[in-house]
Amino acid sequence: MSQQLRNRYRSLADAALEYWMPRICTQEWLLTVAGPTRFQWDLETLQAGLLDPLYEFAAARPERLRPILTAAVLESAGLDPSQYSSLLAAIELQFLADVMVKDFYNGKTLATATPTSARRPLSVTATSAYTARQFAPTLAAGHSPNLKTDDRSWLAYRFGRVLILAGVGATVSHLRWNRDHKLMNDESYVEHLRGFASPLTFEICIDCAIAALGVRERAEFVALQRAASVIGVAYQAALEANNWNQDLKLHNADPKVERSYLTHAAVQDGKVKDLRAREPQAFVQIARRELLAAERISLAAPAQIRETLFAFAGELIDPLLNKFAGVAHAH
Amino acid sequence: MRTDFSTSFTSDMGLELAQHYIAWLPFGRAAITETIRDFAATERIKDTLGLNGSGGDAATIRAAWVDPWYPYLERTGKMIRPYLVSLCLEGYGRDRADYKHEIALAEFIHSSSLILDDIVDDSMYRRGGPSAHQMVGVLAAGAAGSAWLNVGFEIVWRDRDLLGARVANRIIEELAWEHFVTGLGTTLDVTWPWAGGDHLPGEYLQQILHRSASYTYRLPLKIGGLSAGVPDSEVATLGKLGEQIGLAFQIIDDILNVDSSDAHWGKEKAEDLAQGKINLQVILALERGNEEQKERLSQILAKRTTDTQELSEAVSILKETGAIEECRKIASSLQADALSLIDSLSINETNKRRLRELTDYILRRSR
Repeated sequence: MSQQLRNRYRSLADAALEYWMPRICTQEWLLTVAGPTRFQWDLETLQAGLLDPLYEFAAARPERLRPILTAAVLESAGLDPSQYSSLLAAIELQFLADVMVKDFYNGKTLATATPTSARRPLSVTATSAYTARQFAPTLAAGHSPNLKTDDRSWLAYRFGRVLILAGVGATVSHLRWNRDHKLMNDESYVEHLRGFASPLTFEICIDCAIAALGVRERAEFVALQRAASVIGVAYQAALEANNWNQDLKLHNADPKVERSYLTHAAVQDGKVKDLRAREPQAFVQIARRELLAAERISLAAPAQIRETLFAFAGELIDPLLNKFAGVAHAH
Repeated sequence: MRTDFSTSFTSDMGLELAQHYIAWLPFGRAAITETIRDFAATERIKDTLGLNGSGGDAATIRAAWVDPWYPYLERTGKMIRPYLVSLCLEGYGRDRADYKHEIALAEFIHSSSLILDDIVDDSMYRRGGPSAHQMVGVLAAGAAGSAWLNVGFEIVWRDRDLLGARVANRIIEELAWEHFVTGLGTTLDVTWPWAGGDHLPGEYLQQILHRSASYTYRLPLKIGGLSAGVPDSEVATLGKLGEQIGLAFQIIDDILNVDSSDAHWGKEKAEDLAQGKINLQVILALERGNEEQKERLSQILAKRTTDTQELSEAVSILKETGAIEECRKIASSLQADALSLIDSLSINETNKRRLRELTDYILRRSR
């Protein structure tokens, strides 16, 4: 993807985010997204409690990876991504909300759970995240006029499913590795990511394209969906490899802080067979295997869209993998 | 699921309603148990979540998803929300047995929202047991609560053939909207204590419209009507009815918190004032009071005091300014409007009568 194209898609994503969840709270926006006002909205409070926290995180995470992928796939499928702004916004809002939620660790109470940015009460930030993530299904169901009704509902259901899986996945991770100290190996790691992380990573981007095209039951698009899911695992693994040293440093500084389940004190536990105790090369190999699996899974997918997906994946993941000595290119 | 709940609270219901409701309860509990079995039994859970071939072992998934949340269902006694769904279905001539999932959904959403409310309020207990986040921590409880809050999308999408595409699409649309606007209402609720500032009566009503009234009454009535396949105009009336009941309920709840003469009233007197909560009676008192009353009330609220003398002083200010009386009038007006809306529904007369009696029971709040 050329830088020019990427910039165009990022501009679309930013514009979508600012239209559907604006920086400044207005009556007009609330009328659009919440319907007729029965009494009176407190704009100042919604500004302070919803939009300001959200935009702090939006500014800190300006990559807009997921809406860029969505826009690219829509365009490669012959659609104009600017006509699907609600979907671009929905995807980014769910991602930002996920980042906001992961920003505090598990305490018994909100008072003991600590965000990295503690200027405002955690309950306010947590509620901002909740509202942003719950906006996605209604953007799909209620604000996507270019989709057929059945496809809007399906997409809303898919966004809802992402929310279910994100929630369940976070708790499974906590139980499986933090509480039960089960050994993590390649298989369990990949299984976990495929089940719980990949729907939000890139699979939902393809879901948006599928809904826009009205092709949810066509086998070649299901293949594309699965490939995106697997590419999501590759990306997460590549990130783990790249963040390994930094995460370990942070974790060693404060073992109570759970940066990711992979930086859990496996070494201190002495569970040397655990994936977490291995060198980050282990994650590089997992990422490579997943990318190859994605290629195999997607052979039947529409060629142009497949090419776009893998071009995106290559540009994103290859640089992360290439940092490791003796590492051949993924593609 | 427990079956040993006391039904002593039904002594405040009309006789016919109480008999119908008590007879309904085993069905309601069975609907919930069966729906959990259909979607979250260990042998089915991976299929429900689309995790075949991924996600790891089903037992851990079930423990993560169901265990933090299930106690809230187990401890529930009244199940007013699923009962509302059921009344609607029967009122429109449907067989409630065909809609167990949709009936259970109202309770799932309600219980999930309680988990999240308990986290935000840092409530130690819920219905006689520890709150979910006390049991499993904030992240796990919040994650499980959020997951169950959204299970409606899964349930309705899978029931698409039963409900028909039009109905399923509409329920999904309403679920999505309700979740979002409840977020807006909750934002106002949690941000007010931190952000401070003066507030208007309309702002409080807008807040509770989308915080207190949404999952409790508006959404269950809409689920019932939509599942029954009634026109959107009727669904709009049901939604408005839910709003009137929810608004009146919250206003009455706020009044009872400071002015309950009933020895059975479960909450600490003036607990809301002790927590510095801004509600309609406080807003009205601050609008209407003289300078001395305004200043004194603001001071007491800001102190978050449990001193009984100061709290009594605050309650006196609420009364002297006529704020509590005005709130009673508003609640009465909302209740009258609710009864009028019930009359306008095309529900059969038997269930209209039950809805009227149930509304009266909910808003009488003698225990």
